[in-house]
Amino acid sequence: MSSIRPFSATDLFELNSINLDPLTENFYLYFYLQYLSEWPSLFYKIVSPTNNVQGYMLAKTEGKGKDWHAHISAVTVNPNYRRIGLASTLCSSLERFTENEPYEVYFIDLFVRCNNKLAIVLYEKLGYSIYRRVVGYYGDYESKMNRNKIDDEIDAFDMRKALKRDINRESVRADGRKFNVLPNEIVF
Amino acid sequence: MYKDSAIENAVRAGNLRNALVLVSKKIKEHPNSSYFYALEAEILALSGRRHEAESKANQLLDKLPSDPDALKLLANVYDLCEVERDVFDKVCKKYPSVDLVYEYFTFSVARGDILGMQKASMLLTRAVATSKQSVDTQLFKFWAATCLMLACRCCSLAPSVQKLYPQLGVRLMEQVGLPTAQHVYVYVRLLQLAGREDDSLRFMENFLAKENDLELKIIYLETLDKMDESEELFRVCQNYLTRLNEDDWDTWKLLIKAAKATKKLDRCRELIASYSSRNTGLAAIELGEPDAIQQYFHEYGAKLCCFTDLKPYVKKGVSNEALLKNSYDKIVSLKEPTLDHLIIAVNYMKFKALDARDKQLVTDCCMLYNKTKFHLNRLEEFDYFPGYEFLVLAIEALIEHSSFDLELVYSLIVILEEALVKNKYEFHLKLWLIRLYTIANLQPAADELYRSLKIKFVQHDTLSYLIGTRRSIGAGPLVEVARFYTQNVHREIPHMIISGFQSTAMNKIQGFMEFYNRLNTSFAKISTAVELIRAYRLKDDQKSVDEQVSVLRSLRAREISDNRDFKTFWDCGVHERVAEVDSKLPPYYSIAHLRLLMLRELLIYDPESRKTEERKKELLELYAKVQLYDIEKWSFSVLFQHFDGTEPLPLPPKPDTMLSSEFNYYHAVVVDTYKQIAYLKGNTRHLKSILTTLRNENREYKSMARKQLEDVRKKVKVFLKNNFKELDISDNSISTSFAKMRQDLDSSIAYLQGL
Repeated sequence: MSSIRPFSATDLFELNSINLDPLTENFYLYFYLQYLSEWPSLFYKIVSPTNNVQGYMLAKTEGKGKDWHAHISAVTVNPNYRRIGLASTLCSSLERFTENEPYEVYFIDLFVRCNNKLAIVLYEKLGYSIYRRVVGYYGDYESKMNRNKIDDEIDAFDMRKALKRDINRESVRADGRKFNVLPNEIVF
Repeated sequence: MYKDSAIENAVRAGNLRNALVLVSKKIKEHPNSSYFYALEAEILALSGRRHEAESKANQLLDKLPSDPDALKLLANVYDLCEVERDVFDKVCKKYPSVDLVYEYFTFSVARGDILGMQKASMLLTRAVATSKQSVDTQLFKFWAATCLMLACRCCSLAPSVQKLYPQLGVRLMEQVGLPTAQHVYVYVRLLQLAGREDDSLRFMENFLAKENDLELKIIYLETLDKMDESEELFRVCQNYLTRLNEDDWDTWKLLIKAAKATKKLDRCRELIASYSSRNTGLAAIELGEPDAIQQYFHEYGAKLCCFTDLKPYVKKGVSNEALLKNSYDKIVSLKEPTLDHLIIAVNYMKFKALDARDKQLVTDCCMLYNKTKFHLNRLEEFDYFPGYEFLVLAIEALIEHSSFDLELVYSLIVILEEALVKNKYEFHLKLWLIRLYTIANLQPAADELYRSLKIKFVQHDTLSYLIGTRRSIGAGPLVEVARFYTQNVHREIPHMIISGFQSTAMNKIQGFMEFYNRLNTSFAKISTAVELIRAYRLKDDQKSVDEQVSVLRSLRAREISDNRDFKTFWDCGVHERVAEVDSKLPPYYSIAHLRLLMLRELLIYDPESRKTEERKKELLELYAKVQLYDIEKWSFSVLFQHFDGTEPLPLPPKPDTMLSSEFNYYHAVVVDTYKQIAYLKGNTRHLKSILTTLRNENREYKSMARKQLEDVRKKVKVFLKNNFKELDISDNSISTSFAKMRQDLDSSIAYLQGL
């Protein structure tokens, strides 16, 4: 049994069952608090009836004009609650919260490591598609210099899902895997 | 920190006399600067000349200085002198400029003082109204209304004030308007505080019709429920579940409640049947539908959530039910169970453990672990292996039914270390191991594992108790824990609270304030300071001791916020604290115990305090109440002898084994007691002779410890063969574990030899 509830700063005391997982990052306090203060309705959790946090979504909005979009910064689920669609619930809730007022974004995007096949499949099932490869996104300075030097270990796919405001689906493309960009070229 | 670097350096170096000389020169150079007078008062207070400091502060405050930096210094002077005074309030009433009142507001935020924020924000609304600066007056009214709401929700107010503030807030919000969800949130909260729930419902309904705000939706449904508006509640829940397609458990639960009240259970059943989700499966159980539990198990038995989802609904003996039993029996007969089979077995054993944690459970769990551990060789690096739960269930059952001795502790360490080799990111196993290491005098291993979990920032606050209780091997990771409070909490949170106000995230501010105040009065913050004081005192590092004492002195609130996370440790197995197991493990400090330790340090290092007599009285009360180790009782009795001449208790005998952390702790406490009395310039003759005896004996400790460890190793080998035969742990694994343990034990013993 799971319910979506707004995230509160005090929930940061309750995340160990999720954040002790090696793949979930623990950020500085200001990072979480910045999301809460800038995008209060886009940071939410999924909980049990006893308020045990089963997962959470950390998202923001950015961009101008037709690049105005929501960005998923982190979506993570407690190992005991995986494989039951909670990540999908968190993502579909974000669509509901951002495709209408007050945000009305054109699309949602997220970055995923190119070798994280499981996550890529999950996002594809949710309607996301690869828009471009960000070469060297997770790598060092050197790896961010040459857009032709691809490496699934350190490159990210920028995956997107167009929302209803993007009537002509201009925010997505069919052959995104072939488009390479460098991290410094992603400016909104 | 200060406006003058030479003075700052002198204060930092502890050269307060020189700092006073420097500040006198500055006063002569700038006789009209209130800042240096305030600084002089602060340095006097830091020097322990508190009466003089207070008098200088009073003289300055009477002149109503308007320099915010001077006022902040004065506030600190009054804190150091333990005098309650709102310096900003007094001055801001006289000089209500926007800049000064804004400083008052930020200062109150930094102190986590909601009532100060409320006063400052109201003053701000007046200051901006008369200001010639271009300021958003509506914004500050919104701040003021928010602070009124916070004061009512978070502070203890007089009944008349509790009545007045919501009315004031409502009036302010009516001037501001309700353009966003945040405005509606504050307005609705204030209306409800003013007893106008009906009105609040109307505004929420209107707003939710155009914007689907989660926070308001929840308040709306809760209010309908509270007001017994069951018809409307049913309609609204149905709308969220069907039209908006929000498959949310809280909404399903309210729908069922409303359906019962309005006799719409048939419609409710139809809705549940029209959906197919985990929540509706559980909603059917909640409604008491026949076979709903079996249906749920059929669909979700191979999901890890199955146990925690069904646990509230199942009765004792559920593991004997045909569906569960048959599934399990089938899996046991398989040669290579799949991951789905493995999860069904995990769920089954959890239900079984609810019924009985007996010897058979240990055997079955070990058999299943052995049967399924081949998956560890097939999974990708970070993949999750649920089979570790068999080990946790077995360990808990074994502890419950055995005498908890060192043989058991060291055996369990071997088992868990072996399991971690192929499952190196499994954090529950690591938490168990840390706990066992700290019992087994293997603190270096516990520290290493704590670090391997990459625990940082707020996790230190919730988890550092694992390695920070009765530490007797130096500061270790506690240095990083202490740094979290000075560097992250104080530097990041107040700034972000202001940011929250600026971006009008008003529904988050209460959480920010609670978070900040809970960290400021945190159990881990205080216990870390107390543990570090002992570690530094043992090494005669008085400067570091003073830094930690200042942490204790700076606590304004009396309450201690216990943010420790015990839940994650127990969030496996049967997913609850097992009292029969926990009671056999050495306890962590209670809040009363921590307060006792804190009072002791303040009595030693803050004898000039106005609260000294009060502290002594409370210390004695807590000493009589708190369950202490014998060596701790002795230590306190020696301190009492120093204070009032009472006869101390005789020194209890040393623990007879070095394989228990009590051994190191005993030595640390004895040496520490000597250092306390030496600092207080008391009579240390008897303590010195005790120390001499201990130091003469400790030369042999290393070889004795190794011999004791070798004896335990032999016993562990037999124990594992007798009790965990199914795990098939090789002699080589046992030897590898013990080789590492020997190194860690050597480090523990070397530490106490150096005391």
